[in-house]
Amino acid sequence: MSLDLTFVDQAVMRLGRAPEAAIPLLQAVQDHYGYLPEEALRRVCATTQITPAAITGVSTFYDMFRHEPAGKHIVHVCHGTACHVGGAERVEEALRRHLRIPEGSNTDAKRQFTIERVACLGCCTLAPVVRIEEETIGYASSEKVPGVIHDFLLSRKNAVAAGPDLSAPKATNGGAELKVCLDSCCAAKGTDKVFHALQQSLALSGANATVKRVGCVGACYRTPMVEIAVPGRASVSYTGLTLGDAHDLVQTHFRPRGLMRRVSQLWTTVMDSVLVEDAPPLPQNGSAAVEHDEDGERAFFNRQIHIAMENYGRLDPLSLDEYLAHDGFVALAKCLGIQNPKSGGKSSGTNNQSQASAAAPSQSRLAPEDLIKTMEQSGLRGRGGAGFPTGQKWRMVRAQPDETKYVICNGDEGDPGAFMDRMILESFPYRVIEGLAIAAVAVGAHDAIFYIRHEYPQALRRVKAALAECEKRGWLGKGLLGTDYPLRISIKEGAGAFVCGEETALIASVEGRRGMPRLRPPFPAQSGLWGKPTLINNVETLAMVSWIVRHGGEALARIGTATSKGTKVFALAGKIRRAGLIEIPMGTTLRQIIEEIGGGVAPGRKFKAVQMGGPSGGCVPARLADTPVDYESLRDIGAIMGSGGMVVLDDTACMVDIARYFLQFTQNQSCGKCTFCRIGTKRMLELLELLCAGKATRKHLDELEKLARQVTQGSLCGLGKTAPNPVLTTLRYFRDEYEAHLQGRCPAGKCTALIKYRVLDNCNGCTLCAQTCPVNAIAMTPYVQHKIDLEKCTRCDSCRQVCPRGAVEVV
Amino acid sequence: MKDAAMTPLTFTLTIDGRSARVAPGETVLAAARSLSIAIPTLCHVEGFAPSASCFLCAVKIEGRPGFWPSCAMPAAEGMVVITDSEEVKAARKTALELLLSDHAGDCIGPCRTGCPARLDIPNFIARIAAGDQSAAAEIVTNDLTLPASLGRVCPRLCEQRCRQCEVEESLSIRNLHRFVADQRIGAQSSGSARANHVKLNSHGRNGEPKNLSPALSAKAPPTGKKAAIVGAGPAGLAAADHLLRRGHGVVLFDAHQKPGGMLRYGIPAFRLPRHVLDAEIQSIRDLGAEFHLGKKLGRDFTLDDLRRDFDGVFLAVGAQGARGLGCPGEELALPALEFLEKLTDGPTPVVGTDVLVVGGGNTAMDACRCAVRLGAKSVKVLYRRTRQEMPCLMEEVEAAEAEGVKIDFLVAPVRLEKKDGKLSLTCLRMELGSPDESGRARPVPIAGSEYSVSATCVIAAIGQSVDFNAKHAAELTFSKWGIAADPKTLATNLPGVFAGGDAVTGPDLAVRAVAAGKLAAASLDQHLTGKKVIGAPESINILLGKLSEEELAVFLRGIEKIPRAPMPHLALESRRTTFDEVELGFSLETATRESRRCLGCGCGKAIPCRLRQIATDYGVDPQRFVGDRRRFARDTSHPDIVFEPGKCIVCGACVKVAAEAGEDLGLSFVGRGFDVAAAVPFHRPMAEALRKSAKRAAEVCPTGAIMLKSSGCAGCRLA
Repeated sequence: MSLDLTFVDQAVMRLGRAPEAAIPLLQAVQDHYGYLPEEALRRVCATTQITPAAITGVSTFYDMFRHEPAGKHIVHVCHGTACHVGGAERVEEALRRHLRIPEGSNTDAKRQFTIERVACLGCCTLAPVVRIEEETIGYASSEKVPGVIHDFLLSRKNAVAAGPDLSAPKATNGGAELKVCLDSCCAAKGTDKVFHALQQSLALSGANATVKRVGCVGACYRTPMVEIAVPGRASVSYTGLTLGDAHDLVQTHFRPRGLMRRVSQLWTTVMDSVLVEDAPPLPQNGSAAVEHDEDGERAFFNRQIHIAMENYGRLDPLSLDEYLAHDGFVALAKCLGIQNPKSGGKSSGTNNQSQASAAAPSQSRLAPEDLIKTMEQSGLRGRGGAGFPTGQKWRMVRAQPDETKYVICNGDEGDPGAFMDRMILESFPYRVIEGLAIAAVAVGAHDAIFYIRHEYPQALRRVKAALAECEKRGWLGKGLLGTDYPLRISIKEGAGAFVCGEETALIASVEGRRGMPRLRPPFPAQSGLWGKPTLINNVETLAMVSWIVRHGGEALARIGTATSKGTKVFALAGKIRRAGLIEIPMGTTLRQIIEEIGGGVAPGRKFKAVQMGGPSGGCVPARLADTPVDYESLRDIGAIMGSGGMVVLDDTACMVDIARYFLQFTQNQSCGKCTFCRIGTKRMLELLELLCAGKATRKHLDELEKLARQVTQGSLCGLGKTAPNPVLTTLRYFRDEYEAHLQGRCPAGKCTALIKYRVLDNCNGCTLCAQTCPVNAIAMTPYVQHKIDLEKCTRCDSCRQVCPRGAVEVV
Repeated sequence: MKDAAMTPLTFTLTIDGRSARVAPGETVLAAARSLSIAIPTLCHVEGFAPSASCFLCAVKIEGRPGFWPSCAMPAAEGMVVITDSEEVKAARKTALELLLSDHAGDCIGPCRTGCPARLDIPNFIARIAAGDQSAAAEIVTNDLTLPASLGRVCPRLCEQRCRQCEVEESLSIRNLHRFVADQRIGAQSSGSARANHVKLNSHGRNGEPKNLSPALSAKAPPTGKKAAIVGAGPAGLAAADHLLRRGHGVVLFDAHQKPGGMLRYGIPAFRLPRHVLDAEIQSIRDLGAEFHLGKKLGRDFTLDDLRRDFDGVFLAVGAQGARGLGCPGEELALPALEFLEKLTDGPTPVVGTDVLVVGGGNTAMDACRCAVRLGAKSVKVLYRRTRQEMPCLMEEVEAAEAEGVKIDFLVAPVRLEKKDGKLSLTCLRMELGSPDESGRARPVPIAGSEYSVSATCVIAAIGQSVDFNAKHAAELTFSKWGIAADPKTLATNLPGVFAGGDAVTGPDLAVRAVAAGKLAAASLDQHLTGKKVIGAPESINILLGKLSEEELAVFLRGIEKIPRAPMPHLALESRRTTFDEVELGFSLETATRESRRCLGCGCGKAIPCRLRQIATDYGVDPQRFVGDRRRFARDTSHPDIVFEPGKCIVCGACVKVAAEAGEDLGLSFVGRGFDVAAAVPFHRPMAEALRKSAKRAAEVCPTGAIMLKSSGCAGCRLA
């Protein structure tokens, strides 16, 4: 059966024939055919400059590409750090069992479902997370699996479109706004459905109110969440909403009928006081709290200062006018020496040059030299992890004599357990665009590129839409913000490769090649994209830029510590009560973050360690929790600032298992170039597997440590150099656990080869465990103490999770 | 000119404390090479952009953490580079060990690693298959002294490792080298036509050696140096063979009247006809060996005499001592060695009608089979363990049983007495207990199981020992087993004096003695020519180990599935009454057919390839990392090259060669992480990938992943 290749030809027409079109073309082909048929690839080679060798190399390098047809529905199982400690492996096992996916395959016999493992979906506060098609499901667990699949199939059958209608009419002046965040995490918890329900209820009530999409608030543990803002009145927020609550809420607020009791938790003016703040001053305490967890909410926000997340939770991420109304593009205008751009009225306006309000020079221009000085004064260091001084980087690129230069926004946030950049791109796309444009002006580049990982579809959509809006106003392309400074901004989608966060690998990827790093020097600042000087900054770094330009370098330098200035956004996840995105001043201690902001671990559990910096980082033990968050202090204790992933571990986490988890990740993500990284990490993983299986000897442990140090030294890029960190830090701080594994014990009761399950005497024979057990290892014996057949038992933990009396014990 | 003033024309940097001047843009590697500082490389190809992947060229740079690939690192003014610290060497060694842990291929065939003398088995068998017997003979005689004799008595360690074992029975390697060697010395048995009774040994025999050793022509010019070899057994003869070929003079001393050692005096003629041994010794004599027979060290001459009169000495005196029964009356038993020696030198011993042989090794089997041939009515072997524990070849046991020998297991002697002119051996029944230090189950007596058995002759075949000690040479150092010698060089505590074979190890296999002789010759040669004595260091060998089914299928491609060729035997009746050779040897047709069963294991890359060479230089332990490894695969579609991707180290040289040549399909990296491999796009065969650049690809490949078919290796031949 021959394939219709018309689509391939059209895609080539659209995306071009140059070698760098390889990844976009492959993405288009896969979107269309569901996989990469060989005929299609051959056609691409026949009609473009892309060689068979190139297309083979690229299509087998990136995670997203499939060479075999997949099932009808794709189930992505997230294996990020938070998901891993939350039991992602058990969820995947349950999915495989339920969907009858045979071992060694990823697709069931009827080709209905294909399971794909994903490094991280960036919804860590909802861990473990599963995404079926476009629908994200948080807090997954093995026993929820049948229900989840059932609901998914039902929704497909009924083709329910309960999504938000963003074109609904807006409230007139004086009307109320119901602010709802629709970022990926919130959507995953059903906020999109709540949004839709609110719209319907409002329409029925006829109230003068609009449901408004806003950016991330950061308090992910509270979603779905609505803030009701009525002009002239203190705004009120509600959290933990369900679909049914939406109706009641509208009823209560817009047809007053006494207090609403069904809404479980009422957020009070604490939120409000936080939301109306203007930039960094500490929030005042709220008043009139009715809600019992007010202290928690206050603690969550108390220490935060929002710079990268300025105006969080208030603005529609895609409303350029709102952005302009809150100092948007003021900084860029200053750098260009023009008047502040005015909001251009309706965004539906056509390409209207006049709205580039003042191309004419006006206020004193912050010339590139001074701009770079400002950045240097601010002390800002790269937020991607390495912490290189941003101003210095800009200066290096500016100093290059080449005509052509590039700036790239690195949005390849690959660390499992980190999702700051996703949130910033989703909630503040214009701010990042502004930062990128300022960077381009500073170094003298006329081409800028957003490199965003494809696992972040919402971020991609929002950045695309925001760029389109800017272009519509004539602010990009020939003249930036209406000046004669040309700046083209394009988007390159990553295709699933952690290593592409490394600068030279990222460049290779943009050029359409396998994302394999090369030796630096030469640095990208000297020879980067297409051999030209290239500035690469992380999303969060760029999101800080406009604030610094508006407030001056010293303003940022006043926040933080001697060597680490300003604020840092962290994704706080794992075994913590208040998970979410937080922006805190450098120098805040880990204890303040975990215990005050995050509220500590669950009652009855013990805070054991915090994993920082993902696979390149380390595990900081609880006893070092008073370490301040700054680049040097963290480095000194073996961890790194990293991009900002912070996964809290309690006493149920096995540190050997954590090390094994990260090595599994890096081993798989290694580009495979350097011997130490390609084979060394694999051998380390195998040694860790022996440990987890209780089969390791002292010799193995010694070898693991020795090899870890050599891998660190013998790798070309950051991935390999830092891959052993999770092993080295756990060895440094939790050697006793390694020792226990040598003796065949897993103190945390996590390593399945070393544990058994037992039913205690307080079992009343309720049969819930027997009903849940996926492998029938527990007999149906009503009113009789259950017994677990250890031969059959797969240590899936389901019985322990469902037992209402806590009568199942791990020994 | 202004520019020139700004950019320095040269950089000065320091490498290992020496100063180097290089032009800007040069790498640290180039700078080091300009000082003749050797830095190993694998992925580096002159003229290509650096790959910087293998990390063998790693160096330390002062002020920077970690190691840096010198092949890619630009030299800079004032840089201080260290290339030879222990830390750097350890890192390179680990890199090699990691590469080798994921290397799916054999350096040499497993059979060859099994052979103590490292006979190039796949190669000589390939020559037989190709019908080139003289080439086969040249390989066999070069690698192995006494190949026809060993072709009869060797317990075939090589065959235990043969990959054919996983399909059928192993290849009949020993019989094939016997075939080749027999052809050369004209000693091919042909049934009973050549009835070589034991008595024919001392005098005239038919079958004088014909076509003399091809090795003669390979003999080096005389060096004027002379070595003394004490003991003309397999070790001494092998040492003589190899020393003579290197142009040294050799004098062999032996206490016996004839050379050959245990081959002559410990192995009966029906297993090793004397004319075969004589012919092989003759070819060594023809190389110029001088024999001083009937001379015993410590009786007729001293070690000091030798050290005075010769430039070097090799002590290969063997293990001539016999162990007794270890029970009262043991002096009444006839030691097996004495029994076998008398069969050779006479007078022929009288054994009577009822013979008991105590022991379970090869000597016991030889003794009992001789007793049958001497006319004993009943021959019984007593062994204290069971059949499984017998330390001899099972085919010897089967042959003995076929000839009428009975074996009584789990029996141990407790007393030997003479009663009424007959011998009476009292025995105990045994049962097996827990394993002893040799790993075999320890026999434990069963109380009250005593019984007696009468015999006309009791032969003790319990074992041998080295009966050479400080009495014979006071200045030598001895070990628990015999003379103490460095296993790498066979050097003893006395300069210029080497020792090997059974005299060092205690009683062992003839082939190990031959290997020791070969090693001693290498060491002696170094000693005689004034070089540092290092012995014969071997290249490291990577072995595939246990194959998966798919991998085995790759090896079996093109191999016809036929059973192992059986060895034709002398008719049973003649076996029981004469000392004629029992195993008659292969015909040309059988040998050719059998040779085609060879899977041609081993690598065809110019030996050693760069990876193996450097790994050997760095003394790596290929077993340091054991884990998952890539699969062995072989693509032979290309007319000029063989592609074995399991040996790829992902250096990318071939990918670059193909791209540079503008190949339509070319080669690409495939996959990521540990699974990265070089492969042909769209799963096409290699024949389509490299139409223009195959030979260049084989040239740049640092391992055997891409190799030329013309290198003529066994694997290539099959391809």
